[in-house]
Formats: sequence, C-alpha cells, structure tokens
Amino acid sequence: MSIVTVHIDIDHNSELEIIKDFLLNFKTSPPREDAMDIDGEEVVDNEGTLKYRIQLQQIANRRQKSLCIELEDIATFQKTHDELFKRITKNGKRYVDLFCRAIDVIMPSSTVELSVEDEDMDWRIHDLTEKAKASDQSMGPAFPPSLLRRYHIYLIPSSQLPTYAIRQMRGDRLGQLVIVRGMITRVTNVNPFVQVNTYLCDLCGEETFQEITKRTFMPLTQCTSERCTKNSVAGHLHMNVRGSKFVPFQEVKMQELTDQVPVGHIPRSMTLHLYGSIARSLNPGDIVDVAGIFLPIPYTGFKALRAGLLTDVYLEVHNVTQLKQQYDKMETTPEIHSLITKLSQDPEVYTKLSKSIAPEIYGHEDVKKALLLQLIGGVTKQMGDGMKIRGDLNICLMGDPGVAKSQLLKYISKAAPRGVYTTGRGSSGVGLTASVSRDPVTSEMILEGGALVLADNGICCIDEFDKMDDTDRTAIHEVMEQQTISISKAGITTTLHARTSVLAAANPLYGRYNPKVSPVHNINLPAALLSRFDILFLILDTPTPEDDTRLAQHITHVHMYKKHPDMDFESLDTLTIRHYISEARKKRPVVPGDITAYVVNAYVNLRQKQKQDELRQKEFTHISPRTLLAVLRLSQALARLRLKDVVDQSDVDEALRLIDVSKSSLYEKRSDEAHNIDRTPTTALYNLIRSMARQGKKKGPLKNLKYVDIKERAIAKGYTEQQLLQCITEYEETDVWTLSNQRTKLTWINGGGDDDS
Amino acid sequence: MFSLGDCIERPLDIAQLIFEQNWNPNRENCENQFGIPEYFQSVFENENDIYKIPSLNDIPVDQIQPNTLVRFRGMIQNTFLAVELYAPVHESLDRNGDQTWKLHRYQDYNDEEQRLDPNLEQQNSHFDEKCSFYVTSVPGETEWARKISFSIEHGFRSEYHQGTGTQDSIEGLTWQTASLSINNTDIDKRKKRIDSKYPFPNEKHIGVVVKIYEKDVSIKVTDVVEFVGVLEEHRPPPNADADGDGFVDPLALLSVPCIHSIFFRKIHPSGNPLLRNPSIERIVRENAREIRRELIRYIASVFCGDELVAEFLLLQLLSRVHSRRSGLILGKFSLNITNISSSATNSPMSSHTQLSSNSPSSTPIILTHKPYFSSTVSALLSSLLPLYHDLPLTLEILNNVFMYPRNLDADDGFLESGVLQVAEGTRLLIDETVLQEGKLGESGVRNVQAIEGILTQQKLGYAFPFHNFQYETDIGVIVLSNARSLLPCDCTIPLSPTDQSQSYQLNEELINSFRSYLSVLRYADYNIPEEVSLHIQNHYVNQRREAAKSGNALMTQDDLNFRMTLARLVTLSFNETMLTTELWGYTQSLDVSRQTRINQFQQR
Repeated sequence: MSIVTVHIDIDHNSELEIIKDFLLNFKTSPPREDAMDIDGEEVVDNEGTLKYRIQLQQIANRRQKSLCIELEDIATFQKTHDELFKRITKNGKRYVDLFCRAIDVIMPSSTVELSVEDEDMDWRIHDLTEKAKASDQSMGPAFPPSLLRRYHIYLIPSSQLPTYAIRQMRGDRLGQLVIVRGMITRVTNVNPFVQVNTYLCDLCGEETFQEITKRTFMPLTQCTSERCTKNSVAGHLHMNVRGSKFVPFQEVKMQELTDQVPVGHIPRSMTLHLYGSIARSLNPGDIVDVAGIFLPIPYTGFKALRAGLLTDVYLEVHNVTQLKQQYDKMETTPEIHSLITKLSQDPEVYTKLSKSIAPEIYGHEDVKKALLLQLIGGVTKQMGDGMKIRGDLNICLMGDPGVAKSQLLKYISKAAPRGVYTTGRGSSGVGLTASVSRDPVTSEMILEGGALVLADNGICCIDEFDKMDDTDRTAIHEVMEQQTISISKAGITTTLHARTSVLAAANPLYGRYNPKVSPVHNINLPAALLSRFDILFLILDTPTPEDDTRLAQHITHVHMYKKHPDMDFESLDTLTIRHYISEARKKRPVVPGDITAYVVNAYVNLRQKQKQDELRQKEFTHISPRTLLAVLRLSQALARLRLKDVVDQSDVDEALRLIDVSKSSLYEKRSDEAHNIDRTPTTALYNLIRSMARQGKKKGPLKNLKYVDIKERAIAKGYTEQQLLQCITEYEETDVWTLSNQRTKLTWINGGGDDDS
Repeated sequence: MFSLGDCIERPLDIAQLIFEQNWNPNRENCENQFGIPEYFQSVFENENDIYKIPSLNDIPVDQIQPNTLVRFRGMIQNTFLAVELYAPVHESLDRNGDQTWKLHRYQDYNDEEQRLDPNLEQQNSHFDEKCSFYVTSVPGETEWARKISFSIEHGFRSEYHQGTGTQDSIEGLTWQTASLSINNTDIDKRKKRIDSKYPFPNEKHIGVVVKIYEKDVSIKVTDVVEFVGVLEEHRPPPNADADGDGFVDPLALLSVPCIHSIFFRKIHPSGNPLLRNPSIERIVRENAREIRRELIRYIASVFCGDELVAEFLLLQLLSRVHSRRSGLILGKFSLNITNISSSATNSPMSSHTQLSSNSPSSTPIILTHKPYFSSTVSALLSSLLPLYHDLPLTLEILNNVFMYPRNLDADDGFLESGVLQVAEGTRLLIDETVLQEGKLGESGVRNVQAIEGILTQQKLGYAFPFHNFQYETDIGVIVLSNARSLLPCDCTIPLSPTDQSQSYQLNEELINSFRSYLSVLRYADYNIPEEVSLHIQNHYVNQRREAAKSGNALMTQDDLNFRMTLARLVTLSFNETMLTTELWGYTQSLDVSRQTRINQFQQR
C-alpha cells in the first residue's frame, strides 16, 4: 500500500546512532525541591539516573516487559536532537522499529540466572541466543530479531501535543503520533496475535521462522532448509506453537464525545489496536486520551480485489490517559488560573457567580445564591472517634407551580461535575439508592448503584420530592445525614457511600400554597425529613406589580427579539464556575472562637423566635441543632467562596440572612399582619453599617465612616450601590446620619449607632 | 462545453477532462475539488434541467446505467456510515507506457488498476477522505406531495429516461430489488437491516448510500437534501461471515444503491412541491383571509362542526420552532384535542371500529390509525400536509417499536432509526384513544420519554453506548385523547361536537390553495412593535392584580409565554407580519374561550 511517510533525506544509520546514544546515556534531571508536582517519577529516579539503561537491564533480567519512551526525554536529552523528536512524531511506526534495532545492539546481557519460574519463551530465547553465538553467524537458520524481543516499545508523546477529536483525523495525519480523545464503546476479547511463526520440518527437523506483520498471512508448507533442498525432498512444515511468539492483541472502538460532534451530526468512531501489555487497559465507558500512531489498514478479502486505492484506518495505541470529571481531578490551564485569581479579587464575586447560575431563569437571586453555596459545600469533618459531620448542603425548594423550580434543578444537575436528575415519582426507592440484580449470563448477584450512589461526591437533584413513596423517603433519611446507603437484600449486606448533596423540589400539599392554613399543613413532608434540609426555600407566586412588569417585559422581549434581554452583567460560563468552585473547595475554613460565640447567640435568638411562632401556630420550620450546623456549613461555604481560610462575621450574617430570606415570601403573603423581622435590603444595610461603626474602635462607636469602605462591604455582601444609596437617603431623611456632599463620608448624627441597642 | 446529455451519460469522463484542465502536478494540492462541482452546478443551473437527470425516487435502480448521473431526494438518516481514505489523484500509464494523471473521485473501484505502476504510486499518492451518509426516502411524504413533484418533473424527463408508474410502485420495486442478488437465507437479515434504518416500520421506502467528497459539510441529520452524483455500479455483497472476528464493515453489508455526490442542495423545510411555482406566494397572500375561513370550515367538517378546535388545529399547522438559543425554544405548539371518545361513538362506523382495534397482534406492526374518527382526521391532515404520519399509541406499539434512533449493540455505523427521526416540519397525529391499561416495558418507558422530549424540548436523544446525544427537532404533534393526555402538551382543547356538521365540497384548486397557504405562511416574517409589547405587559400585570383580588386563577409566566406564541400564529394566519393590539385581543378571546370550554368540561 502506498503510504507517504518515508523521508528520503534521513539517514537511518545516523538515526540509529543517536537513538543508541540516547538510550544509553539519558539521565533524568535531578529532581528540584520545588517541583514536587511532577508525578510518575519514582523515588529511584533521583539524582539523574540512567533512566533507560536501568530499564533495559530490567528487561534483560526478564523483570519488565515494556519500555516506555517519553518523547519529552528525547527533546530534553540534547537540544540538537530536537529534530529527532519531531521526526518521531511524524513517523512513529518507523521509529519503533529503529528503537528495536538499536536495543538489539545495546541490550545488556542478563544478570540473573534463568530459573524455573521463568516462562518457556525465556528458555527458548536463551537457547536461541546461545545457538546464535555458537554458530557465529556463519550459517544456520536466520531467525527474525523480533523473536528475541520480549519487550514492547511504547512511545509516549509530549503532553503538549494537541488533543484531537476523531473527526479531525484526516488523511494527512497518517503515520503520525497523535493524541485522540473519545469514549470507549466496545472492546473485543484479548486474542493472541502471532508475531513470529515457527515451523518444524517433519523430515529434517529444521526450524523455519516466518515474521508476521499483517493481520492475515499465508502459512508456509514447504521446507526450504539446506538439508531438504540438498536431498531434494519436500519436507512438510508443521507449526510449532510453543516456539512461536505471540503478543496480546485487542481491538477497541472509540467514539467521539458530545462536545466534539458538530450540531446535528452523528458521532464518529474509530478503531484502536492494542498490542502487548497495554491490552485490557481500556474498558467500555472510559473517557480517555489515547496516544498512538495513525495507520492505514489495507482492505482484505473481497474488497481488496478491486478497491485498490481505498483504505481503512486505525490507531495503534501507545499510551492511554484516563480522564476524570471530578472537582479535584480537574486540570487547570494557566489562563483559567489567572481568570480565577482575577475573579477571586473581585469584590462582587458572590453576586457574579450566583447570577451566572441558570442565567436564563429570571429573578430568584437568593435561591441562586443558596444553590451556589450548595455547589461549593461546607467542610466535611472526620472526628477522632470516627464520627463524621457532613459538609454537603441539602436544599429544598418548595413552591407554587410555574416558578421554574425544575429548570433550576436541571441546571444544577448539569453544572455539578457529578449531577443526577431524577423525579420522586419516576424513581422507586431502588432506583434512588441501589439495587441487587442477577446477571443473566453468569447468574451472579450484582449491585447496581441508583441515582444517589451515582451522585457520590456530587449533587442529586430530586424533583417532585413530595410525590415520593414513604418507603423511599426513609432511604433518603440515611443519605442526607449519614451519607451512606445500607443494603441488605438477597444475601448481600453492605454499605455504599453516598456523599451527595440533595437538592429537592416539592409542591405544596394542595398544588398551590394555601395561605389560610398553617405552613406545616401546606408542606406535606415529615419534620424529620425537613430538618435534614439546611435551607428550605418557599417560593410563592404572589402578584406584585413591579415583579410582574419586569417578568412581562422579559417575556415580551424574548418573543420580540428571539433572545434573552441583555443582562446588566456578563454571565460566566459553566466551565469557569466549575473551576472557581473547584478552587474554592480546596479551602478548609475554620470558625474562630469569637465567631462561634456570635453564632451561638444567633441560634438562641432563632430558638426564641421559633417559640413565639409556635404559639401563634405559624411555625414554618423547626429550629433544631441541625439548624445550627446549617448556619455553620453555609458560613463555611461563604468563606470558601471568598477563598479565605477563616470564617468571619459577615459570612455568618449572610448565612443567617439566607435562612431567613428563604421564608420571606411566606411573610409577604401575610404582610397585613405585623411581624417584627424586617429583612429588606435597606434594613440589612443599616445593620451592616451600624456594625461597622461599632467594630471600628474599642473606646466607642465611630462617628464617621468612609463611604468607600461601606460600599466595599455592601457590595461584597451582594448588595448593589443603588440599594446602598437608597438606604442612606432613607435614613438621612429620618436624621440618623448625613452623607457628605462629595459622597465620601457618612456621619452619625446621634453618636455612632448607639441609639437603639 | 459539454452537452447536457454528455453530463448525464458520461459524468466520469467529464470530471476527468475538467480535472486535467485544472490540475497541476507540481502544485501538490489534492484538497480542492478541481472546479468539478462548480462546473456541474453551472450546467444544471436551470431548475428544469435538473429534472432531466434520472431520479432514483421514481426510476428503479436496475433500469439506470451505472456510472451515469442520477438524482436522489431523501432525508439524511446517518452522517457517519463510514469514512474511507482514498487517493484522489494517481499516476497511471496509458497504452503507450506514458505517464498520465488520473482522477479517482466519484468512483470506488478502478478498472484500470492492472496498469498502475506501483513505484510511481508510492511517491505521489496523497490521501483524502470521503464520508458515507445514509439517506432514505423522505419519511412521511404524503401521496399528493409525491404525485405533484412527480408530475412537475416528469415532463422534462422523457428525453433521457422513461419513468414508469408512480413512485409508490417504484419504492416497492426498489425495496425488493435492493436484496435481489443475495441467496435466500440472507435476504431476511439484509431486509431487516435496511428496514431498521427507516423511521416507520414495515413501510416501503428506498435507502441510498451517498458518498460525500466535500469537507465540513453543512448537512445535518434529518435534513432533506437532493443529491446529484454518479451512480456506483451495483455489486453483489460479500459473504457476511467472511471476516469472522473483528468488526464487520457496515457498507459491505448494506446492499443498497450508492451515489457519489458531485453537488447537492437542501430542500426547503416545508417540503411542499407546490412552492416550486414562484407565483404561488403572491396568490396565497392575496387571498389569505378567504383561504383561512374556508380552511377552518374544511377542518371543522371533520371535527363534527367544531370551529374552535378547527381554528386551533389550523394554528398548530402553522407553527414551527422559529428560534432556539441557549435553552430557549420559541414557537413550539403541541395540541391536545380531548373528549374524542364521545364524538367518535357518534359515527356510524363505531361498532366496526371496536372490532378492528382488537385485531390480533401477529400481523406486522404498521403505524396507521384504525378507529374511524382518528382515521378521518388522518385523511384530513395527509390531504393538507406534505409531511405527515400516523402514530397510534397502543401498548403493543410502545413496547415493540422504537421511537428514538439507537446504536447500542449493533455494528459500528449502524444507526437504527426510530419513529421520531423525521424531517423538520413533519406532523405526527398521536391517537391516545387506543391506549389501554397494561404494562409498559423498559423500551416503552424510553419511548414515552422520547415523545415527551419532543413535546417539551423539541429534542430527541439518540441512544449511543454510554452516551445519549441530543438532536434538535421540529416535529408538530397533535394528540387525540379521551381525557387530558398523559403527554405534556402545550395546549389542550376539548372537542365539543355540534349537530350541524356537514360534509365539505372540495376541488383540486381549493385544496392546493390550502396546502400552499399552510406552507407559505408557516415561514412568514413576524414582528412585535414596541407599543404592543407595552400593551401586553400592562395586560399581564392587570390581569394578575384583578385575579388576585377576585380570587381567580393567576396568569402565570407559562400562560403568558403560551399566549405570545399563540399571538404569533394568529398574526401569521391573517397574513400579517406585525402584531397589533387587535390581534392580541383576538388571541386573548380565543384562549379565553378555550379556557372556558376546559372549565365546562371539568365541571361535568
């Protein structure tokens, strides 16, 4: 077949010399102290070891069966050999052969005696080499050198090589060493692939060798040995299986990933060939980067008769890199890193990120903030006595139909690295947790993970939570607090991890929230389950002219211009959010002592308020010690969001605000009743400014505050400057403070906010 | 330069000649097409000239000479059947032993291979790739649409090829000849393979493999495209078990005609052959309101005189997904007509209907409506639409027929089709009245999910191993059911039969104007002026305020969305391009009367 890969101007002999030199003399650079992140370097490799010479000795001693040649080593070996590195990438197959030839020459002799444990083949190789030495190349049957090679060479390309999709593999890449990304869909059994076939003559007993390079070959039948030809007898050849050389061989199909396929096209697939010890390294379902040589394969059989100019292609695999999609396994590029650093210094990062969650859903800012915190999560603690305190946040969205609960859930299940979306009605308890089934082929029992197990280290989004059977809910109890799933079915008793955050959505009992009955009656879930949610958002659909107008504007805009209205901010894409979250999750913020006291104080207040609500039959959620943990988890998530190691008071305030605001639409519903908690931005900002004044000095509250400082704090907490100005103006009117004309300084009229403490 | 006849009869020779003109051996550039597609396109610039090319749609493949130019109009079923590398240009020796350059495009096999000099080839070949697409006849193309396009094209064809009979019989013939040259044991297997690549089970159709030489082709799955190219010589397929282990070559096992595409053109998504007449749009627009009135009466004649249902159905037929951006889908409008059973029993045939619906399941499944009422609706829709198909929702069909395309355990490249893999703009009439209580298997559940995906997202998931690829669709769905459908439809309306149902007198001209009306106005422009937008906003806010006061149901975000969609269709149906406050008012009243009717039926 015609492959244009041979460059005429390259002298193979000189290449051979360079390769020999490289294999014998390449030294790894001594590891630097600060370069600890280079993995794969074993401890043996310190202080500039002769990396490949050591490995060759291992091969000679039959302790190693493959030799991985990293092209980066060739590139760094000598700068002058930079060209060699390029040539190998261009013409991989040829250089594998050259490497083999080089190794044949420089292969050290074994330092270990053959023993019974060694394979037959090793004995044979030993015999053959002895024989070759004895005969002194003068005569005797020429056996192919590949028979003696009991190693396989793998070329590992530099990681800087671009990764291609299958559809980018065009004719001009034939013969090249490339990296292709995709998903493994099918694998065949591992079969022996004959490399050297050995025959014995039934008359003269001479061995004949046949080297096989193609997938099909014509077996030899006639003995051509000197003795048979001399005696002019036709000796029949018989195949000698023990004397032949086989390598494991596997054929694998790889398919394109979703993001590599242009819209409306069918994903393409490609055949991979795995020879030697690399076989069995791929399983169906793996998402991998495969490095290998892109080669043509001539048609065989019927097609070859006429299809002279057509060819099929495959990739001879040399290296496999498994890809994972988890936060801690995500690879950051320098660009993303700088983007994240920039973002973390942005005082508005909280607002920016939360607004970028499901940007097509209008409004629901506080819900989105809570969902962002859920993605980040609190810190999971392992106590000395083995007790675990979960860090994952559980959130329940309860509300009237048509408030975009399901869309939010679906967005989160896609944004989270391991998100599973399911509906309470659609999945039985088995579908959620795990099931035991019998394999039809082997009739073994198999354990299959359900949605909650699949979302381990991720988020499980359960829609229509209220429609779930009671038996299924009991399983969720365990998951939401202990984060495990215990199974005792069909003789299998086991506990599976389900370290998952639960995001649930539910409708009120009567389809719509009925303000005439108490909240408990509207929420159709048992208290034991409710208390396991860190935040329960109640989203009611109440008509308010301002919101309605804005929503109507939004919808009409969509229909007029066929796109969403331009937002006042640029929403960040999912990838950036993921990377930021992954960065945030690396932090393990602690709660300092004074903050603990603050939290305790707040908790006591909540408990008291709860008592009052209970008296009035208006309790919404039960305030339990779990609420305290929820506040801590939320605060930790907020500290993580700022990429800080310590939780501070503003985090706790924001956590308390979120918990409080989750019920706000309930209070709006009965706004006619006087209720004492006012959580409008104006009041919250007033409290914020007052606390700033108090914190300032020990001897007494500050009289003057810098506007810049206030603005910074307010924006960091997610308020807009507009809201801040509104607050300032409102309180100015009641003569609480004055703002200087240049908007630089805020002065308390009545002595630093000591007024009503 | 060359006559039309030459182009049709000797396309390969002409391609070689054009190649020789444009080829420069020193400039190692095999990427370009050497101007061949452009040349052929210019030859067939005139629409009527294209019709002179024999079309596989209405001439059996064995009546056409191989290596001549053919046409095929079909729906793309699979854009990746196989990718082959080939040498587009090679050197060869002519009879005198001189070197010549040969173009090796638009054919798979080279008969002159014996004269190839292997040494020359070694140094000069360059590999290029061609991609095979699988194309089927347009699924759901209705009888009249075929006949009209046949009669339009037929007049020009006589010169080069005598087409025989209508397309229906030809599809049947081709369907059978596709597997002619195989021994009997293989026929079933092959026929099954070809059948599985057509959306509707057990229906006659043509499947063609098209090889595309361009890179970065804009053709997508389910597009309807007309290919012009060279017909490959039909060869007997190799023995299926020749290769034993390893993966089987998908192309070899399909014994269907193969076309090497020289150029192609996308067919307008309406699929209506009447639109080929350029003056039709003007005629439709001039008489739009009159056609609208008549069309509602015509539809109502089937729906027991119910003009409200008829109007909603008319609006449904005008709908299409007109905008799709970042999760936003605008324009989808699925209609659920409820309360069918009571009206169906009014029909004289009702006793017969009962019997036929309980037919034994041993016969092969064919997706046609059997009950009297749904079959009349089906007849109505197929008389109006160019792309339409029945979909009875019985348990047997849900459990045994696949709705979504899948490639799970089959050989590589074999994407099996599903009922929902149809061209853009196709309407499906789902009859839920035939659904009975029973058990839905796993595939049944997946099928229902696939239909739901169409209704809510206009997206269809193609099942691949470990993946589920989502493809965008635009399928109009009308559901007939007794009570509210189990499928989530955008709009529900109960049928309220009136006694004064009369049969409607149709003539060819009138029905053609209906057909053109629907196809033209579906793709018309539409705008919302700023002041109307303000009016709508105020309307929404006021409605909610009033409703909250009086304790009525609030208008939700979804309601507003739905009415905006409805307003667009209303505007289009009156041949307007601008939404006005009057049209908005009309839309409101239309929707309010629908709501009132729903409430009436709920109270009963």
